[in-house]
Formats: sequence, C-alpha cells, structure tokens
Amino acid sequence: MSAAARLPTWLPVGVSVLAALVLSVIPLPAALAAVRPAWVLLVVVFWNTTLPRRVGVSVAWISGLLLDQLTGTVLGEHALALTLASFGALKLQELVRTFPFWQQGLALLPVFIVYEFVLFWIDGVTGHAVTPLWRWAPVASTTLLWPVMAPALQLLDR
Amino acid sequence: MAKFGDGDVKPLFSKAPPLSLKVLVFVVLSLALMFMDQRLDNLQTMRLALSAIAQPVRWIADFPQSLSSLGDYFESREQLRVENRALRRQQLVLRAKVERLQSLQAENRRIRALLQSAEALKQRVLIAGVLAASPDPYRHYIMLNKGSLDGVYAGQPLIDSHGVMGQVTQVGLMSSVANLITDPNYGVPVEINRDGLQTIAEGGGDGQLRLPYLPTNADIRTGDRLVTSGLGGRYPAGYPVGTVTNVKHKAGQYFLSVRAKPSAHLHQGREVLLVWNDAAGGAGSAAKSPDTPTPAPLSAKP
Repeated sequence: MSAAARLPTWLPVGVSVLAALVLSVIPLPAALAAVRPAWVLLVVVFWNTTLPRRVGVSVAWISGLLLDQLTGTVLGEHALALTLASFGALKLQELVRTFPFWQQGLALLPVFIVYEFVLFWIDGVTGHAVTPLWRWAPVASTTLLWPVMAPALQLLDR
Repeated sequence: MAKFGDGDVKPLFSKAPPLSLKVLVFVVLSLALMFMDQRLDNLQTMRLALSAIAQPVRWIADFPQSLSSLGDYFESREQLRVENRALRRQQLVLRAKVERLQSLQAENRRIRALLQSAEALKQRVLIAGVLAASPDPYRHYIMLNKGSLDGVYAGQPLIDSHGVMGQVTQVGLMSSVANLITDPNYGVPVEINRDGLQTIAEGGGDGQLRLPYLPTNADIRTGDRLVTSGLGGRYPAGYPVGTVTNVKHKAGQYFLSVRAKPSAHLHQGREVLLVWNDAAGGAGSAAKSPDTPTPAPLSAKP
C-alpha cells in the first residue's frame, strides 16, 4: 500500500466525519433534537464495514473525542461508545457486506443499541441520568437512515 | 473492482496489532480520560486544544443562523420607521427612568458609604453571543462565543436583561459552555425579596426551578420574587432569579414543595452578559484566586 494510494481514501473519510460532526451540533428545535440520528456513529460504522482494513477503531476514538468536546459531555464518553460500536461493526462487517442496504441497517441494530446504551450508562454515572423512552429514539432514526445514507456515502468512496 | 485489491481483503499474515488489543487500549484510554475529567478535573489543557480543533466545526454549524440574520437587512422601510418611532418613545421614557435611577444610585452610594459597606457598585460586564443551545434536549447548557482569551473563567455568572441565567462551567480559548439555572445538578443561593428569607433554588430539569429546602412554616407565597442572595460568593447579590408560581404542602412532608419560574429568558435572545463578581472577593481577582479554579457546581445537595 503506497502512500499515494492511501491519500484519496482518507479524504472522503475525513470529509464525511467532519460533516457528521457538524450535523451533530447544528441547532434543531427541541422536538427534532430528540430524534436526531447519531450521525458520527453512522458514518464511522459505514467506513468500518466498507473499508475495514483502513478505517478501524482509531478513527472511531478520535471522532468520539471531538464529539465529546463539541457536545460538552465528559471527555471519553462518545469516544468509548464509538470504539465499542466500531469494534462490533468490524466483527459484523463480513456478514453485513453480503446484505442489501435496507437489511444492513437492521443487521447493525445491535451495534447502534450498544452505542446508545454506553452513552445512557455513562450519563447515569456522571449524574445526568434521564430515563424517558425518547432516549432510544436516535437508535431508530439511525437505523432508518442507514439505507439512505449508505448508498450516498458509497458515492464518496469512488 | 480495484477496491478489493488495495487493502480491503484481510492479509494472511498481518503485522498490525490484533483488533481486540487496540480496542482494549482505546477503552482503557477512554475510561482514564473520563475519570480524569469528571473526578480530578485536570484536563484543562486538553480541553483547550480540542476546543481549538473543534472550533471550525462549530463555525460551520452556526453558519445557517448567520445566513438567516442576513435577512434582517431586507426589512421593509415602513417597518423600520414604525420601529424607530416606538424606540424613540421608549428611549424617552427610559432616559427619564435612568435619571431617577442615577439619583437613587447616588443616594444609595452615600448611604452605603455611611454604613461603611465595601460592596462594589460598578460591575465589569462582557457581552457574549450564544453560539448554540444544548443539542441534547436533556441537558441545560448554552455555548458562548467568548473564552479564556476574553478573560472568561469557570464559575463566572451569566445574566440577561431579565435575570440570572446560569454560570460558566467549561472555558475554551474562544468559546465556553455555561450551565443554565434550570439544570437539575445546579443550585443558586437566593433570598425572597419580600422578607429576606434565604434558601437555595435548584433546577427542576423542566425549565422551572424548585425550592426544596423550605420548612413548612416558611413565609412564602405565590408571586414572591426571588433574587440572588450573594451567599456562596459565586453570584453577585440582588439579581432577579425567578417568581414563585406554586407553593404546596403535602401532608406528612417536612418541607414545602415550591416551584418558581426563572426570570431570565433562557431560550430566547442571542446575547448574554458575563458578570465579574467583584463584590465577592474584591478587585476582580476573586475569580482567579486559586481556591475557585474548577467549575465546581454550587452543590445544593446537603
């Protein structure tokens, strides 16, 4: 793998992660904010399953750290959640890649749930406990968005 | 399908460290960071560096709002004239009020001097713009466009023209995060304007305030105004905090259940005032003194 071949891979990954970070903090009305999909999770998991040898847990961890800073959570919260989600995605990628897009979202549902659960858990430990059912809405919106976003991100890869 | 040729396929003999090891390292790193950030609170430099990296993202996220404010240029002339006239009238009324206030202030100063009170009357303030409200509906904080470069410090009180909004909890280079008084983890020492009864107002988590530590015989009524008492040294005394909306005594309870509505317009407006609480420790250095460097919340839980 030469350095020249490597550069074009990192460009779409960086741009899409940056876009996901922006979408995660863009101001939304309260009703919409509750169902805001986990954009960074979606993008990181997509690259994990598409280029598993290139985009691994390091990208997940660094994106998570930036997300922590941007959303004002305790440093390491999103980093931990994204690392674990990315680990799950890397384990599932060989299976997931055989599915059509609309089934991939469902196959990755456990990964999304783990991500949201880790956030929920750390929020509880650090004294921001909330338990309404709406807390799980991002899992649903991320899953529903996968069949739309995955083909769009695939265009970036070419 | 060149894609599969250049690196997508798992090599037979990989020299990279195994995935589970990497995951373990990152998990331990995250846990260590969380512990240091939450318990030891010694990650200020790392937060500064991260906030510098994250700043462009915030600018981009804020861009649509700057665009919408461009629309203000195209307000119709008639509308501006009507507004102008109304503002002129208002200014006249306000000026009269200010003149009265000035005389009152002078009188107040004289009386205070008589009392030999050392309270500072002039307060240093800084206007900060609100960059964003919490993207998470379950947390009550806002981000401001002023940071340590402007002298903002952790624990600094935040007000708008109607009352106390909250306090700064994290400071970046050019931005900072401030908790609102409605956050359930924070409390404000208040007193009731009518009779001087002192207590603590906690965030209710639902945009309201609670006063959980009032005994059942406390003299408090619906409509009472709450102002900061200045105790605890974080908030300057005398700023409006809220109005009591509901006083209830449940049979068998030792404390009243009192709710209040915040005076500050917490989710409106794009500008807030950062106040230097000189009265607490004198000469503006109070905030930078070594005993208050952390954003430790005014812990209301006894």
